[in-house]
This record gives sequence, structure tokens and C-alpha cells, in this order.
Amino acid sequence: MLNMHSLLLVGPYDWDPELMPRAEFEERIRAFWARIPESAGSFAVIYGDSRHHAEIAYLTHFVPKVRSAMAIVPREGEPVLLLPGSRNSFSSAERLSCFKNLDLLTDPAKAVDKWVADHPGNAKRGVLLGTAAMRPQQYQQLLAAFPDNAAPLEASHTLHSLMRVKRPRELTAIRRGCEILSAAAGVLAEAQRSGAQVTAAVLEAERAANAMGAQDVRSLFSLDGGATLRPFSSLIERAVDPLQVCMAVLHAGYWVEGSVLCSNKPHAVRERVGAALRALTSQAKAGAKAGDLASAVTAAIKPYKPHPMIGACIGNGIGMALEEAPRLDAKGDAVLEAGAVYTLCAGATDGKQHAMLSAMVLVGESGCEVLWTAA
Amino acid sequence: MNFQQRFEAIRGDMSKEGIDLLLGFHDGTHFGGSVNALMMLSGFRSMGDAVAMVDREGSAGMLVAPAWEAGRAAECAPHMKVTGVADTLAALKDELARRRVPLARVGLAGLSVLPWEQAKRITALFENKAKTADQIIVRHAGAKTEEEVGNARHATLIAEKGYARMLELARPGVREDDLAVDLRWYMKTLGAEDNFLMLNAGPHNKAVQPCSSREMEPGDLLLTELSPIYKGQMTQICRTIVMGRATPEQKRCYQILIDGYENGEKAAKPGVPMAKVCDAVDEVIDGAGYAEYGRPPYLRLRRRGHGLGFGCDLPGDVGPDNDIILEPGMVFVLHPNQYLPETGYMMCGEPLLITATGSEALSRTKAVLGEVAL
Repeated sequence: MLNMHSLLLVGPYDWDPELMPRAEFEERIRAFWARIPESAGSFAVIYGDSRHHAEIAYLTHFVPKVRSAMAIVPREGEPVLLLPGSRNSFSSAERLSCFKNLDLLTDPAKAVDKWVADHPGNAKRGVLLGTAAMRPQQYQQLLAAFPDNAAPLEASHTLHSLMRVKRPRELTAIRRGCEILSAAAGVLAEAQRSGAQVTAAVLEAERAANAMGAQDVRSLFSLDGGATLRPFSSLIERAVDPLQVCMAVLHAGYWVEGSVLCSNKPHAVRERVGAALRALTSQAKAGAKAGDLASAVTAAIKPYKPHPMIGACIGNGIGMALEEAPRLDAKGDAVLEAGAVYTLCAGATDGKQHAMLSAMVLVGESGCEVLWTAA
Repeated sequence: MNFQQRFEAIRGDMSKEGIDLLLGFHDGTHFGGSVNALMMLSGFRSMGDAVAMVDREGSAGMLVAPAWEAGRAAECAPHMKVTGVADTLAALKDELARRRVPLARVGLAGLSVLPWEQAKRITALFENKAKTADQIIVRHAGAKTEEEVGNARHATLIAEKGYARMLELARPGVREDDLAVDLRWYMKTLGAEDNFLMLNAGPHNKAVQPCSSREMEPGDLLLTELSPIYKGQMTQICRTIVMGRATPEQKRCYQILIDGYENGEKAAKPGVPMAKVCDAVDEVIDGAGYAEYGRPPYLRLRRRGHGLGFGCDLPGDVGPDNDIILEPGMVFVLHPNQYLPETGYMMCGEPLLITATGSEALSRTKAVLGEVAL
């Protein structure tokens, strides 16, 4: 789910070879280039910033903690991380990646020129990754690096398809993220039960997640019984019941997400949504169509209506970005893929009561493994 | 000045520039340091796409996606009619058809901070006929409103409490990122919605940086920029803490930065170009024999501080080339932070409010070289 991001990321982002050895990234790079024809070029230019960095992080582990950065990842040889600012700031940045070749980023075109000049035998022909998030001027500067007859191929879609099926170490990180989410949701529920004020309860849960090693925790909460969600913008010095929260936890580079509804009172809509979520996860398997899954949810929540925040979308892929493809929309043609991780969500309203509950699942050929669920 | 007066001043300039409809865009990606046209017109920090629409004579409105953000947007912008939509560009197209405003009389602001493809689609929607209108917003963004100044004061109080907690928690063996995460959380419990929190330590730092997982050691200098945002207003205090007792050399060097700050603060008054404030700081530090270290490559272009806010960082950098004339209500951080060969990088800085007669530091306690007893 869409969430508010921080100006500057402060959690533990250093590369940890125990969690993700360098060989893991080298294998990812090999797998990516295996999908790109030789004719497309010999290097990839990757853009990332403090909000959008899935592509650069997937191939290098590097996350720009502030503003933006770039990387050049060649088909053969060592990647280069390109950082704005000053070389005096490299000592923190070089801890963020298994690749230690850092250079100053002034103008993207000059960076490409320099790389090509430093690597004779490589034509100025490359592919782009993650550049959809670039600002207009920056993007124009980057394009200027390439001759008119060698417009770079935008290859993010290819990389995303590779990222969709999670590798064993990625699943380890996601499972641990789900443990953290579970603990944080427990703290939230306990705080709400004991009458804590809204933001105090949310902050307590976020602190619990941080204490367990979360890099980032982003929460949305409701002040209107679960009809809408909002990010933290100031302290809310009152308790609410029910308390609807969507909490996203980042651990070891991977997002997990959970929608929970805490209430000390009977809540008929929540009960029905819980049943709908169980129905949804029971039908999730490789090849399942998003439209069919959405229909199953719609049927399971009757007589209630779909929650307007969810509408016809019952989830999306999740991993190094909170919202990875595919978006599981009733009207789309997305199908679940074996080995991919999804956040699945069910929600309903009767106009007075509202509820949204979600689950994290790893899809297999004949079913799915529920990594975490609110139902 | 209050928000409404600023808003009306912007509206007044629309007439002068031949603009009947001013549009301020944002996509919810926040880096700080640039003008957020949407926030300046609406006070709303969006998570996704939104566009503020200001009619030269009539009403003001906002299109917000996703639609469920509309309620929060309406709370932030009571002067606007807020509509939640699935796709702001499609809704804007309908809105333009309804209003029948000539495209050449539309002003666009905020395109330069949008993703390039989105900016391209917007430009195409207006057939390249619309005017660039960022300058209208920037012109009126330098001085804070009374409410913004109040929020800056409160943000500074949060920063100072954050620093007090930092002095309690910083110890050899503590990881930088654990300390930063705690401080961010703590300042959030005080109401800070976000924080541009730089923090790093080392025996001889070359610069302030985002935190890493390095464990602090005895003798380290711990550097920080504590920059909480409270109700849309960012502040900043800069501090240095020694892991142990400060050496006489460290104290001597730090005093040079403090003296530079004091001289800069004295120079900060209405009617003075910002460059003079930079010059005043440089005068002291250059005079002490450290001119080389107050310039690139040791010090980046930002030099001696920068404007504060969130939607806007005017009056810009405290740099030698900034000829913006200081006005009452402007807020900026003055920080003579720099590398000194004897000690490494050190930091001290306070947020300054330009008043009718001079300037006022918003922090209650100014920087001193902190010490952590071992």
C-alpha cells in the first residue's frame, strides 16, 4: 500500500555478508544479463533514490539513504556506485554495498562517458534500470550520454520479472521480516487493548519492530473506524476503537506488510473479512488469476461491500519495493507465480463498520505458504 | 503574515503574469531542499500524486490520489475544495474541459521535481502552451507565516530534547544506526513527523554523513544534524560530542567555529544580503588560518548554512554568491561546520529567525562541545 517515506533513511542498511554474500549479487547480475541480448549493450545505468531504489539495491545492495544515486553495472567486471556530494562522504556509503568502487556523480552523462573511456572495447550502448523515478533534468542529462542511434533500452521490466521469484536468502529475509511484523502487530494490539492513545500505540509497535532489527517501519492508521488511513503527522492524544493499521516493515532490504484491525468489541465486518482472507489464501497458488481471487473475496464478504480503499485490488507483489508488480486487480490479467511473494488483502464495509486484513504469502505450484496473516 | 495573506499575494501575482489558473504538482516523493509547490499552496504533504488548483479570482481546489487521501488533504487545506480521484491527470483533463481556461493562461509549478514521464505527460496535456509558474510561488515563500515560525520554534524544541537524549545514550560500543533509530523514534514521540537526521562518528571525520552500523569508540567525535519536522516545518541544530574528555586542541578548534557562528549571527539582519552572513563567518575562520578548509573540496557548496522549511528552503544557502536580501520572517540554519586538520570535521549550528531589527536563534541553548564521560 502507498505509504509516506522519510527524507533520510536511518536504519541499519550496511551490507552484511552473512545475510547476503557478494556471490548472491554476482549471481543476480549474471541472471539479469542472461536475459538481455548482447546487442542491447554492455552496461546498465541504474538510478535510485531514498524512495525508489529496488533495482539498484537488488543488484548492488546499495540504498541511497539520502536523495539519489546511480550505479553502472557492466555485463563483465566490477560495478561502480556513483554518489552525489563529496568524496568526503564516501566512508559511510562504502559500507552499504559489497562493491567498493565508488565515484563522484556530477552529471550522469559525464559518468557514462567516463566509464566507457575507462573500459575500452565497450561501445556506448547500454540499458537503463529504475530511471522512471528520475527528475526531468536528470533524465535528459543521462540520455545525452547516448548517441542518437544508440538510444538505451529501458530494461526495468526484465529485472522486475527476475526479482519476482524470490531466492532462498531473500525468503530468509522475508520470513524474518514477517516475524518482526508479527511481534509489532502484537505490541500494537496490546497497546490498543490497554487504552493507549492512537499514535502512542503505533509508535510502541514501531519501536518493537526497530528493536528486532527492522530497517524502517511505516505505519498508516485510522481515526475514522477504518474507513481511511493516514500517516503520522502529529500526535493524536486520544484512543480509538477500532484501530485499523497498515504497517510496513523493512528487514534486510525486503518489505513485508500487514493490515490489522484492533478492537475490544465485537466487530461483525472484521469477522467476515477474516473469513474472506482465509478463503483468499486458500485459493492462492501458481496460475491463480487475480480476477478469480477478487471474485472469491467479493463473494466471501457478502452482504458487505468491498472496502473502498481496496476496491477491486486484492494485493500485489512485494519485496524490495512495497508495491512490486503485479497488481492483483479484478479487471487485470495478472496471475500468481510460483516462488513469488505477495501481500493479499481483503476488506469490507457496511457503511458504519469497516475492516481491512491482509496476509503475506509465498506462492507454490499447488497452494501457498502463509508467511503471516491477520486473519 | 499568515497563510491566507501569502496565498492572496500569490493570487495577486497571477494577474500580473497573465495566469488565470495556477497548478502546483507533487508526486509524494520528498527529498527536501526544493520548493514543493503543492505544499506551498495547500499545506498538504502528499503520499501520492496531487495537484493544487488556484483560480485567479474564484475558488481553489485540489485533486488527490489515491482518493482515500482526500480527507487528510481537506484537513490541511481548509481553503480548498478537495476531490479524491484515482488518476490526477485524467481528473485534471476533465477539470480543464469544464473550466475552459485558455491553455496559455495556465501556470504550471512543480514539474521539475516530478518523475520525468509524468512531467512530460502534463506538459503534453497543455500542448506546451502553459507558462512556467514556479517563480510566483518562490517569490512569496521566503518569509515564513506566523504559524510556520511557531512550528519552527516547536521543531527546534524537539531537536534540543533530541540532543539531550543523544547525550544520554551515546556511548562507545553503541552503533550509529541504533542511536539514530532511537533518536528518530524519540523525536517522533514528541510530534516530529519526519527527520533529516545525519549522524556519524569517527576519530577524524571528514564530513557529516548518514549513519552506518559502525560502533562508536572512545575518542571519537560524534557529529549530528538533528532536523525534525513539526507540522511541515523543518528545523536544524548541529552538534559535536566527544566520546570522552575534549582535548585542549579540540576545545580551541571548536571555539573558532563558535566564534564564526557568533559573527555570522551578528551580521544576520533585515536588508542584508545572505552572502554577508557567509562572509562574516568566513572572516573569523579564515582569520584563524583555516581558509583552505572552508572551501571545496573540504566544504561543499552549501557553505555556512541553508534555508529551512519543508515545502521550501528559501532564503537558500548561506553562501558567498547568495544575494537574496534577508527579510523579517526568514528562517535558516547558520552552521559554520567544517573540517579542521587538527580535529577532523566539527559542527555547531542554530536555526535563526530574521526579526524586524536583527535575528533570533530559535534554540534555547546554543552549541557547546559535548562530552560523554567514559
